[in-house]
Parts: sequence; C-alpha cells; structure tokens
Amino acid sequence: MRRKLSFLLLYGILVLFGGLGALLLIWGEREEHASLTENRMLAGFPRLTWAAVKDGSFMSGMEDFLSDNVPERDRLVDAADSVMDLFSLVKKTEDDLDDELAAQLSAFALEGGEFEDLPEEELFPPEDSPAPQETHEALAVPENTPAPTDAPAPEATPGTENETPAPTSEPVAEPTAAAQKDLSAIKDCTFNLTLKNGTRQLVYTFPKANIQRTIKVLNAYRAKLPADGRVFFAQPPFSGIGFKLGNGTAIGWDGDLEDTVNAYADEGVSMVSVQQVLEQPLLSKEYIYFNTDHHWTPRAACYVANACLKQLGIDPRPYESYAYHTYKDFYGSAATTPKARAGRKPDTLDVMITATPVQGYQVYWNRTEREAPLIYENNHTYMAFLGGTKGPWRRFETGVDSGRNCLVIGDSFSLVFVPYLSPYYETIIVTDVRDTYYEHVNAKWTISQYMAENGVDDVYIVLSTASGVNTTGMFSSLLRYL
Amino acid sequence: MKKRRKTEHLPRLGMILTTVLVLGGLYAFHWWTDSRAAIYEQRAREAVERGDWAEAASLGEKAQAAGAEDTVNQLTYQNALALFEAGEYEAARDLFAGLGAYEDAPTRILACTYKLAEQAEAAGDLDAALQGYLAAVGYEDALSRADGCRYAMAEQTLASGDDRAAFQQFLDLGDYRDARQRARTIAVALTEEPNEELALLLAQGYTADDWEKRAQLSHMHQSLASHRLAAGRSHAAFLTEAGTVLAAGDNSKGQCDVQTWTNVIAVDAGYAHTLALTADGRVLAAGDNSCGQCDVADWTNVARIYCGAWDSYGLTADGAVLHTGYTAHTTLSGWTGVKALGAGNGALFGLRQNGTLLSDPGVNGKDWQGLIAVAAAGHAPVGLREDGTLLYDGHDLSAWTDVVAIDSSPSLLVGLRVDGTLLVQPLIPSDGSLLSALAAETDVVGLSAAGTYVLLLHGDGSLTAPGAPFDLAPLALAPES
Repeated sequence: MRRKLSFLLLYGILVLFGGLGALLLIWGEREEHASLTENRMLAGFPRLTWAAVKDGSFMSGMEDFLSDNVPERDRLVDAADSVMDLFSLVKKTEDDLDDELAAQLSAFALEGGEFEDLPEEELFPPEDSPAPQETHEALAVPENTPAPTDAPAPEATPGTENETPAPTSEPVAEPTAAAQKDLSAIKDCTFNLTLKNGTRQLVYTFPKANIQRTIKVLNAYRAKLPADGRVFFAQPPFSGIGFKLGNGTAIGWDGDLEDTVNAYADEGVSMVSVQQVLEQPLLSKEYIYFNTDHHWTPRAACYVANACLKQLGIDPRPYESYAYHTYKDFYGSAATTPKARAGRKPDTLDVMITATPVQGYQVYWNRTEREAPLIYENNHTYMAFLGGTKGPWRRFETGVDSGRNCLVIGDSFSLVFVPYLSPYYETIIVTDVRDTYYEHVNAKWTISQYMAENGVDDVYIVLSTASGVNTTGMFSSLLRYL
Repeated sequence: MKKRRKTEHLPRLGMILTTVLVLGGLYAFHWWTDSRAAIYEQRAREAVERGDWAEAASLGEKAQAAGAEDTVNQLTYQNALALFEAGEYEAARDLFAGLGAYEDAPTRILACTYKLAEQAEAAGDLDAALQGYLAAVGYEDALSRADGCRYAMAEQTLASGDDRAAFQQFLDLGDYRDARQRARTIAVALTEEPNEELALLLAQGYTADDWEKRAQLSHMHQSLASHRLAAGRSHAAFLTEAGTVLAAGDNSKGQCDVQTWTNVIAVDAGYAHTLALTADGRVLAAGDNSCGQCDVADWTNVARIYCGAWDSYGLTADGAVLHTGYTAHTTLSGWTGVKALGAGNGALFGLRQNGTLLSDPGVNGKDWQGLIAVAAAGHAPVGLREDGTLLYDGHDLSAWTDVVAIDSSPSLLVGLRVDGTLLVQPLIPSDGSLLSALAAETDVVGLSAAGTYVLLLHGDGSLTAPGAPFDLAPLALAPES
C-alpha cells in the first residue's frame, strides 16, 4: 500500500510538472522577446538539433526558456527582489563601515519596519539655511570589496518610484542662487488634446506642488554645473496619447507646464515642450510612436534631442543624416504574445550607426567597469539602445573631441534619446534613479560626485509622463541622490 | 507465495506510456512548427517563380512569422532584381530602398538611379539626367556623366543666344574639358575687355580692384603653412623645414612616435593618430589603429592627406580618394577629379577641380560654385570661395570676409583672414577664454583646429596653441626666416 501511494505521488508530480511544462511549451512565447520589467531579453524556444542535444545547448536553452516563460513571472520577480532587498540590507549592514546608520537600519528591518519619505522640511530646507559643504573627492572603495561576478548588477524595476527609499545621513543641498523666484505664484497646469470636433479633452493635470517640486529639483541640478551649463527636462507622453494625433482622433495638443517651468526655474534650466516639437510631425503622420510598443521612435527622440541642442547654439544633425540598421520585425510591449500580434504588422526599428566608435561601460557600485556598448547592433528590439537600463551607471566615451560632457537621467524613454547626443559630447554618463543601488546603504556615491568626476557640463532629464512631474518618488529620488 | 495480479504492472506501463506520448507529442509539435516555416518558404519561392509577387509576399511573411530568417527580404530582393532586369527602374528602386542594408541593396539603388538618369538623358531631359547622375555618384562614371550633362546644357544655352547665362554655366564647370576657355571667350565678347582673366572677373560683376584683391587672397592661400600643423585631441605634430616631424602631448597610443620620419611634406592628425605624407607619395602613420585608421602602408601616388577623428584619407595625384578607418563611406569609389577634402566625424566633403562639392554621406548637387577649400563643420560642409567669403547652411557667417583658410573641429570653426587674424564660430558651447585668446592672435600663417585648442604657426616661425591641454615645448624651434 505504501509503495502504491509513493508511486502515485511520484506519478502525480511527474504528470503535474510534465503538464506544466507542456503548457509552457505550447503557450509560451517561442521567440526571444524583451521584458520591460526586467529590461532584458527573455529566452525563446531553443532549436532542436542533434548537435544542440550533443553539446548540451538544447537542454540549457530549454531551462532558460522554461524559466523565462513562467506565468506571472513579473510578480514573482518583484516579490523576490523585495525579499532580497530586505535580507541584503540586514547582511550589508553587518559589513558596512557606516556603523551608526547600519545599526539603525538593521534594527529597523528586523522589527519589520517600513521606510518612509523624509519629512518635507528635510527634503527642502528653509530658504535661509546654508548649503552643506560639498566635497568632490572620489569615494574610496571599501576594503574587502568583492569584484562583481559575471551576473549583471540588479536591474531597475519600474513601479519602484513610489517605494520609500533608504534615508541618507546627508542633508539635501538647496541651491543658493542670489535671486530665487517666488514659486508660490505657480498655478496648476494641464495637458490637453484638441479633439476632431473642436472640444478640448483634459489628459493630465499637474498640481502646483508637483511643479514647485520639479523646479526645485531642476534648479538643484543646475547649481552643480559650470556657468555655461544647462539642464534640459523633457517629458514625452506614452504612445497611447500620441496615436490620437496620428489617427485623426485629435487635431492638436497643448499644455502650459513647460512655459510655467521655464518662467520660474533658474537661468540655464529649460523644459523642452515635447508636444510642440512632435505635434506637427504626428499630424503629418511621421513615424513618431511605435504601433506595438509604448515608447517613442528614434525619430521622435532625435527631434526632441535636437530641440535641446539648438538651445545650446548647436546646429544639430537631422535624423536622416545618420546611418541606420533597419529592422522590420520589431514587436514591442503591446504585442508580446502571439495573440496580441495576430493581425498586427511589426514595427520598423531604426538602430543608429554612430559616427564615431563609442566605447561604453557599465559602472558598478564599487567603481569596477564592464564593457557595455551604446548600441546593440544586432538586437531587433527596443533593447538595442543601451541594452536596457543596466545600473547603477553607464559611461560612454564617444571619441568626439568636443570638450563637453553630459549626464542623462531618465526612464526607458531616455534609452533611445542618448545616442543622439553622441556627436556632441565627449563623455556621456547615464543613470536611472530607480536602480536598486540607490536604496542600498552602500550607495554613498552620489550623482553630483560622479558628475564632478566626469566634468559634466549639461544635464538631460528625460522622463515619460508615467515617471515625470506627477511622480512623487521620482523627483524625491532625483534630489535625494544628488 | 502471493500471486501477482496481471494488472499490477499496468500503472507503471501507463506512466511510461504517458511519458513517451508526452515527449513524443512535444517533439512532433516542435517539428511541425519548424517545418511550417520551411513549408511556407518553399511555397513562397514557388510563387516567385511563377511571378505571383503578392502571394509570395504573403507567404514570405508567414514563413518569417513561423521562424524562417530573412524570407521577406530575400523575396523582396528577388522581386526588385526582376524589375531591374525588366527595365522598371523606379519600381525596382522603391523595393531596394525598403531593404536597407540587405545584401547590396544600397548599390542597387544607385544603379537604378543611374539607369533612370540615362533614360532621361536619352530623352533629352538634361536637367533630370543631371540630378539623377548626381544622386548616383559612387556608381560607375556617374560623376563624369553629370559633368557631361552640364556641358551639354551650357552649349544649349549658348546656342539659344543667352550668352550671359551660358558664360555662368561654362564658368561653373571649372576645369572640365575646355569649359574655362569657353567662359573666357564669352567673357571677352560680353565685356569687350581683351585681357581674358580680367574679362572673367568683369563678367561676374567684379571690378578691376577686386582682381587685385583676388590675387592677394590667392597668393596668401597658396602660401599658407597649414599643411605643417596637425592638432589631435591631446597631441600635436609639427613639420619642420627639414622634412622631419616633431610631436608633443599624449603618447598613450604612440601617436607621438614620429621621430624617425623624414622627407615629409605634410602632416595631419586625428583623435589619437598622426599621418605624414612623404615627398615620394607614400603615407606614414602612428598612433591608435583600433579602426584601421593607420593602415596606409600600401598607399602610393598620394598628393594630399587628411584626417578625420577616426579616419585617414589620401588624395591621389589624379583626383581619386583613398580611405581607411571607422566610417563606412559608400560613394568614394565614384569620386573623380577631387582636389581637396574636408573630413568631419562620419562625414566627408570633396572639392572637385571644377569647384563643385561632393558629400558622403549626403546629397550631391549642392549649388555651390567657385570653391577653393572645404571644411566639415560637424555634419555640414563649409566652403571657402575665391573672393574670401564662405558658404555654410548653418550659422550666419556673412561677416566673414577676406578669409584665406578655414579649419574645423567638432566644437569650432576657425577662419584665417588675409591680415593674419582669426575669426571663430563655436559649433558647440566653448570656453569663452579660448575664444578671446584666439581673437587676440595676430600674424598667423597656418592653423589646425582641435576640439579644445587651435595650433597656430606665426610669421616669425613661432608656434602657439591657445587652450592646449599639454606642453608645446617639444615643438619649440628657433624662429625661422
């Protein structure tokens, strides 16, 4: 009887997992595709050949395929990351040299406490408080620091912008510009569509408090730059909004956010009006947004990048002057399954060929670097641009003798934007403040330190409307980690 | 002894059978999906053979969706080739254009354009033929055919009695065939001035005073010493009168290892490499060779050398262009009669003997005439004219006059005036102190611009480099007479 039961149990497990595997094989995504939550390529079904079986690549490929196509993978990854972060905080605090903060965090985590946003007065000290002393010394690498493994650093996960990051022990710097504008006069701003029937449809409202916060952040970045430095902020909407202009549902769009920011921000800060730049091209049916992805196209990113560059007095290259690898089989975030792709033509992806041999690096939290190119030329997806966000830092040496350097901070919309800065800047550094690095206790290497080390002249902040002005966590993070 | 029931083994058999069936089913499914791609591909090829392009395209998409690689591109390419062979060049060009860099599609596009230009020329539409040949530069003799169209158009204009327009057209042809002589002949008739060179100027609306000024500009331009200066990103080289080369600055890539070079007549520098032209037409190179920019050992009969940041160019005595380096140029093989180049990051401009401009990449046929020099301001050309003014589609340079030389870097455009002073236009926001320092320089007889500094040779033989991030001492020489 016992043997029969054990046999039945074993048989049941075999059938269960065999069935699950069969389901994955039938309904899983057979082609390699991008995961926008993990910002990497997920494995497709491996090719079954005798050679692949002999050398073992078929079985390892099958492992990757089954792993990457587990149902509800995104939720599982998020949960795992949260657990890992909790335990890594506890573990790292034991190794960290910052003993006071380490002890506090350790006790806090073990008690099951939750981190909260710093109070408003700590984020934005009173106007008359002196700016903290700044140092530009390179952060010393802690002793006994292990070299990174071949596994990539933790990927940024979206949706974390609203999570409460770890507090730092340094007060936040406040710009000490001589003439600060009175931000209390700012009013709420809106972004609207003008529909075909002439009516205006409200799409976004930007509350006054959010705008004030945005301006303070932009001013803080401007204060870190040399006299001729500029801060540019662009907030592109998702493709769902852009399509309404492209398909005739709307005949225009407008907003007063950019004018407001530009009127109240410090000199040298400029919010580029993405809707002004892209309105006419959209109405002219230019290829501004992908049909199967929520991102903007390289053409759109180039138009907005050029609008920023013109403000610097640069005569930028037109989009058509670049050479491209063109792929016509790009299915993006809105068509990740065969069902979603049914009846939809794939998008065309123009992957830029840079005018100079750009050297790219992923820079880890302990300052070690690994080569990671600007363009992944043979990648037929949006991940062709920088290979997705690999944190905490990316550094690109463009081979352009211009003597000028820049920082780009953004979400995934910034990925396709960065290459169009490469003809003008000698060094481009890129970061995404949603990277989990910034929440670690070891994250003492600030944005302003890295800016100073790389001689940054200009800053570009490119955040979609999903991560932009109305995202509390994002702008808190931008200031906190500066 | 306990008797075993016959059915005792059934569960085990069932398990084995189930497992075999599942695995077998999975394999069959995978084989079917793979085969499906091959089946669609085969049916698509059969549709191509019987000329059913619509069906072939539909099947090709299905094959590609089922995992076949590049089927759509293959079928489109075959379709385009068939149209080309049938003489339907416009339709073929549209299909090749949709293929991007697939196979030799870019060359096929030029071939289609060339054929269309031939058709236009045969039909007598010289203007369309000219535009077509210019767009096909890089394919066979497209450039020569374009010149031929221009010459024929000038003759037509002369035959129609419009002498003034014909004069301008022959003048714009520069040294092509006997165009300059014919321009002189017409100019003499128009102005009744027996001196042909003066008549040429008068016919263009210039005065006798302009002739003297032109002569001065021309003399200054011919005697400039810019070929002796080479400014790289963090290094510089200087050609001595003895034909040796001195270098200073960063030598991390060996770009300053030039001590053994002799019999040199010109130098230039890229981002981290140095080139030298010897009197016997060979080219020497030192420094970074990561993109092959120093692979010049087999170049011969070279008359002039130029460096882009990551490229090296040689201009042969017969006007052909040699290239090695990072940029993937597509039309250089068709460039002929070139007398000067302007090299930027990823862009090359060629000045032809007839004073017209070639671009790669870019659109040829730019209506610029009478140029004596060209530089690359980023992606755009800057042309220097005989009268000392500039042509540029970017920043306003209308105030630049009496210019005898130009040079550029990604961040600066610098002009040398006949009086030895400098004009500077920032292309990227630059250090204001550098601009001030350059504006104060005088008695300059040669220049070479880098991104953050400009290397200058003065009339007394001294060298300065406002903004240079390294010591110029290794280049120091006693003032030369």
